[in-house]
Amino acid sequence: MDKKLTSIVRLLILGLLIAAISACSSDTSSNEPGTESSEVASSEPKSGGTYTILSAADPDMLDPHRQSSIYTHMMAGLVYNKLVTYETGPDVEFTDYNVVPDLAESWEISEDGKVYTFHLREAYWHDKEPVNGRQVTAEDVVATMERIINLPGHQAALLSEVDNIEAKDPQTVVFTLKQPFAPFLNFMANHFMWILPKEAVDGQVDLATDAIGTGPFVLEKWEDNVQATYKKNPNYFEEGKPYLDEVIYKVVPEQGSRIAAFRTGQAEAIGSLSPEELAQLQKTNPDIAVFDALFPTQEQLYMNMEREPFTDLRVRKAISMAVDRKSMVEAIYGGGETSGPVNPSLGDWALPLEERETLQPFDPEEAKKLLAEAGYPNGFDTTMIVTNGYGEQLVRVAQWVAEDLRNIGINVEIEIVEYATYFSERWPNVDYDMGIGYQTYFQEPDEWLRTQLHTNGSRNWYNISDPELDKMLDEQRMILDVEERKQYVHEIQRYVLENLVNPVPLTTYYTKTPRQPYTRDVYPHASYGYGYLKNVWLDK
Amino acid sequence: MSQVQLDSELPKERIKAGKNLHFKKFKEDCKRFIITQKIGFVSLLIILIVVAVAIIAPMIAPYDPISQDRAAFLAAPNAQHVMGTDDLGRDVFSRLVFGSRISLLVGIATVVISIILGTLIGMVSGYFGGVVDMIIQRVMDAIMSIPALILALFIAALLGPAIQNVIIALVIIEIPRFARIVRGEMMRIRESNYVEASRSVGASSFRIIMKHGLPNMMAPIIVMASLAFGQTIIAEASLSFLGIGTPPPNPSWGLMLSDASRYMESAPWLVLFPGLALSILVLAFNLFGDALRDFLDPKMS
Repeated sequence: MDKKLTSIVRLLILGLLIAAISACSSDTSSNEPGTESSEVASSEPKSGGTYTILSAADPDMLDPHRQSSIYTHMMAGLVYNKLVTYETGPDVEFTDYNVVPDLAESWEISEDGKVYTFHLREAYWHDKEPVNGRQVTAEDVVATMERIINLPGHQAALLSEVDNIEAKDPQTVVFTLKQPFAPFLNFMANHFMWILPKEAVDGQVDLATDAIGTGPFVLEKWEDNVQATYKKNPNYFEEGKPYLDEVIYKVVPEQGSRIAAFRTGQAEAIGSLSPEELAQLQKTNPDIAVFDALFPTQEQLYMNMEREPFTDLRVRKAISMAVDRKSMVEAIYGGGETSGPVNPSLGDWALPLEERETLQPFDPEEAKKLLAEAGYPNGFDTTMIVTNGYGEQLVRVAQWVAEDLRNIGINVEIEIVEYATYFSERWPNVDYDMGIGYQTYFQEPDEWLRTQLHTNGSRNWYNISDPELDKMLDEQRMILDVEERKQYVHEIQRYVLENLVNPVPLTTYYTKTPRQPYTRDVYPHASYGYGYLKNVWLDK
Repeated sequence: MSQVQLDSELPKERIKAGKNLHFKKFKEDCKRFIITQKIGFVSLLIILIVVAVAIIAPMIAPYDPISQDRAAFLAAPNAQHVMGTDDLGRDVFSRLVFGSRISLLVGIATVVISIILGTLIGMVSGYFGGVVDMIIQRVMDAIMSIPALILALFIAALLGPAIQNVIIALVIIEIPRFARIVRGEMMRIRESNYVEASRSVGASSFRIIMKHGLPNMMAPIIVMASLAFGQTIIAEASLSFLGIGTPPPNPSWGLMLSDASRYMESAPWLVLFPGLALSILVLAFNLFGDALRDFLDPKMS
């Protein structure tokens, strides 16, 4: 009867698998803490202590210009600085994008909008070989920018409008642009713009495994897939900061283990949790704080514009109208809002919520009419690609959308694609009928709009080609007045929702991030980088 | 098939003695099975019930297994949804009923294909021996040395999530088991007097394998098959659970368990019903296999 025993053992193993998977399932977002509510009054900060971050994964390398992974860039924020960065603080929203000084103390923009002059502050590199704590000079900045331009990858596009970069004197860098370019300052605050010492650019530092910067913490040791240890930078340019002695970034792939560590006070940050996980955590730890923030990207339902019947605007509109976004985000994510062509996490660059909702109504009856007008009174059969590499929530979104489309007669067969194939072949090669996926966390409306929707856009993976839209997308880049540009960006989004309807924005959900009650002055930001830990202190 | 196999230990003349006798013998055997193998008989009934449910699934299931009731997410079992609804408002009972089709389909397809290929390989290996046997058996060793589920995971992940890929992955891990058993049987049969007699009158290798080999090894193959069913069903569920088996929104039991695992505390019925269904069916196959083995074992009967 040993077979009986075997079968019982098998059942037990399945049970264990259930327990294991249940925990690491809903991890679509990374370590992206939410907005700090200002209720926590900041008293006098105390120095000392270790801040432990538990992460689902490790980046494959630390090089902040070769690797676009969120993990690399979150970690880079501890070690490096940019010329300018985004403001964080008690009165700044998670998604406010205010450009403030970082390594550049101040800057001037010429009358014609083509020359940007940055004045560097007095800052020193980390005291590590071969740089040994010397002062930061304009030469470092020029070398770094050249590296960014010359390496392959998305990052070079951020500087595509730059004509010339020059070190005018040791503390002054001058950028000359080919033409006035509105997104320039935002692009300089982008997470790809980490400034390296000249020695590192020259190859004297192995940037894949080491890091020498000017940031609040010094990388002591990085053990791939185990842990990275950071120590306080005693020469950090902001007087008195950072307060923490040490930051530890530990890889714990299993969500259940991360929650358990948080529960017992062994970790300060574990990223966002699903509503169910949070509810369970709060049962045992009622005093934890929870921070809601808009997830900085959205699911998008996209269609191949070179395949029938998606060539027809009425079909695309019908598909957009068939999806019940509000109920979906509530059911699957526990709350969120209807998205738009520019993600709502970009604040008022996005269309106001009300307009996003009125321009994208949920109306299956009207959708059926549109389908009939387009010549598909009985709907049609099609396929939709989705990857499970982003976590199971997206697969549920796909099933939800498929059901909504079935209700207007469109039979969608879901094809689950492995992440690498999805991201490097099927999506970029436009090898699909329909697809559903998350977009990258773009931080500039230009990225959301032009890279995706312009005929020559670097992420136009939908075969979109609309000459009128191209013209508008090119024009908005030239408008230097922020208010004026915002209005025009809104105009473009209205045009997109009425005349293009691809990719169809679905929803942006609210992430829920637990925080230990004793952590103080945690003001995270939607942009990449743990740099905000310079303000953090532990009240215990 | 069963007549022949039950006769395996009997003298040759009996086989030629006519269908009537066979049928009578079969009926007697069935009775004896019911009396001596009560657990096995109950298991068989359970299997037959599940098969029946799978065949008439559309008549039993009150709802479409993939349609979502947007008014009832995670509803507890009630009059409308006897086993409640899942996180997308789908009726758990209907999904369970249709899910039996996937489990059985994967089970049957895998076992039948593995029997055919495994038996073929095993017979060739066992009959010819020597270098052929050597090569085949080392390949089988290689496959068997990797833990079955890990290998299936690897193959399924390589091929992508689809039912036919699950079947391919499971066939690859099942083939060596059949090939092993068949090889041993074949080696035994090869040395028997009747094969020697057959060979002496000039029968070809093919004829010997088909006429003397195959009928005489049906008993162990059938026992193996019933056990393999259980393993296969569990393996399909495991692969689907891990997201590389049956793709959603198909109502595979493993997939249902995987979706439900996040609601283990708040909606336990989501885990309970597919878990129970899976356990009962697999247990039934295993117990039936055991009973069949005991029953067919000449020493015990």
